[in-house]
Amino acid sequence: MKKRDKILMKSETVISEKEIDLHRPETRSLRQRIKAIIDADIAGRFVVCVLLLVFFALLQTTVFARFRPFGAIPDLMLPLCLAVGMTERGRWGAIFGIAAAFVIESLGAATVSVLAVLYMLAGYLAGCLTVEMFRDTPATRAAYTLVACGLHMLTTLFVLYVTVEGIHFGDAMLKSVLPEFVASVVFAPIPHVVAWLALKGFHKPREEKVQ
Amino acid sequence: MKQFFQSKFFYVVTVIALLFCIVPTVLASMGVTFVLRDAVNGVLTPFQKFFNYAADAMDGFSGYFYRFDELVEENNQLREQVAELQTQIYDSTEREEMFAWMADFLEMKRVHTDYKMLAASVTGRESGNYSKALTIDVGSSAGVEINMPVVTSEGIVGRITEVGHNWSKVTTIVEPNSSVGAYVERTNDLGVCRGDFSLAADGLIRLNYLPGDSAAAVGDRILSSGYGSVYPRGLVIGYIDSVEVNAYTRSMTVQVRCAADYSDLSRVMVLTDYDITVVSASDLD
Repeated sequence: MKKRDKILMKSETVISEKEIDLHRPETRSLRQRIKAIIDADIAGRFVVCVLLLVFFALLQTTVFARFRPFGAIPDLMLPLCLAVGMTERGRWGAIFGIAAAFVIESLGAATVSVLAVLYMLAGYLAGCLTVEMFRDTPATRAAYTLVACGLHMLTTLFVLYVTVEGIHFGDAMLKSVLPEFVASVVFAPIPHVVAWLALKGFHKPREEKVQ
Repeated sequence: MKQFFQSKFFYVVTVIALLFCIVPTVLASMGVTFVLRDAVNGVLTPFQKFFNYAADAMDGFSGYFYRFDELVEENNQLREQVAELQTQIYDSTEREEMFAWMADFLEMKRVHTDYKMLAASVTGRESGNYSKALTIDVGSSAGVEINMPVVTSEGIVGRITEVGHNWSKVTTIVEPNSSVGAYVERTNDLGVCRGDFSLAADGLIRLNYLPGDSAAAVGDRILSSGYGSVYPRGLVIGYIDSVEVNAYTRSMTVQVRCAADYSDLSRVMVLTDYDITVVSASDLD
C-alpha cells in the first residue's frame, strides 16, 4: 500500500492535497529533508560518540601515559572504534575511526600518522561483520579486539622501523610492541563496556522508549 | 565479505583515512603545524590539564597499595604528631613543592643570567609507544618557537619540535634520533650524547665519540657543550652510568643516566633566549 493511500485511510477527515504533498520526498523542502535525516536520535548518538572519543583520548594521553601498565600505554581508541562500529554499524564505525585516529595522534606527539586507516578499517569491518555474519556477543568482541590489536602490533612495528634508525627486532618487540599489545588487550573491556552502556539507550525498541 | 569493500562509502572513507595519514605526516616532517591538529590541541589542552590533576591524585592513592609497608611505618610516625600540625602540613605541601621548584629555577637564573625562561606544565605524553615526546601548555602565543630548549632544574629535557597556539611538542633527548653536543665536566673530553631505543625506557642515552684515552668514569657529570646551536653550554645532561672499553679497538661505550626524570615530569621551563657559546676542545683545556 502506498504512503498516500495509508494517509488517506488513517484519517476520516478530508486531507488537503498540500498535506499529502508533504509526505512525497520530491516535494519536501531541503530543510524538511535534513530534519528527516538528522533526527534527535542521531544527534544524541553523535554527541555521545564525541564525548566517548574525547574522554578516552584524554584518558589514554594523560592517566595511562603516566602509569604505563605492563610497561606501555594501552590503545583504548582501537577497542572503542570496534565498540562503536559493532553498536552503531559500519558507517559510524568508519567515520568514528578516522576521527579517533586524528584526535589521538594530535593529542599525542605522533610524528608519523598511520592510525586513521587501521581505526577506520576496524570500525567499518566490525560493524559490517556484526550485521552480516556474526552476532554482537562478548566472544566476538574479544575476537575482534585480539585481531585488531594484532594488526596494531604490525603498525607499531612499521612505525618503529620507519622512524627509529637501526632498531633491532627483539628490542622493538620486547620494549614496545608486545607490552603495548598486552596492555591494549587487558584494558580493552573498559571502552567496550563504557561504549555499550553509553549507546545502548539508542537501541531500545520504540515501545520501551515511549514508556 | 567482498561486498564490504565494494561500496562507494568504503572508497570514500578509505581516501579520507589515507589523507588523514599522509597530510599530518608530511606537514610534521616539514615542521609545519596542521591547522586541524592545532585546533584539536587548542580545545583539548585545558581538559588534558584536568585529567593530569586526576592522574596525580590517582598516583597518590595507588601508592597506598604498592608501598604498604613503608606507609604503615610512616603512619605510625604521623600518629605521634598533633592533628593541627597534620592539617597544616597537608595544606602547605603543594605550596612547598612550588616554592622548591621556583627556588631551583631562580638558582639556575642566578648562574645563567643570559637565560630567559618560560614556565610550562606537561599536559600530555606520547599516545603511542614509539616516542618519548611530551606536550606542554605554552605555544606560539607565549613566544615559543621550534628548537627552543626545554629544561628542568635537574637538567635538559629536550627541545621544541612542534608549536601550536597554546601548546607545544617537546622531543626529549632520550629519543633515538636526538643528539646533544656534550662534555665530561671532570675531564673536559668532548663527545655527543645520542638517544638509543634500547636504553630509552630506562632513561639512559649513549655518549659517543669520546677520545680513546678518556678518563671518564662512572658518576661523572655530563654537560652540554653548546655545539649544534640548540642547547646552551653548561646545562646538565646527566651522569655516567657505565663505561666499557673495547680492549681491541680502544673505543669507549659510555651510557649516561639523564638527570631529568621523564616519568615524573610535571613542570618544565622553556629557554626562550640565551647567549650561544660554542666551546671547542682547546677552550676547555
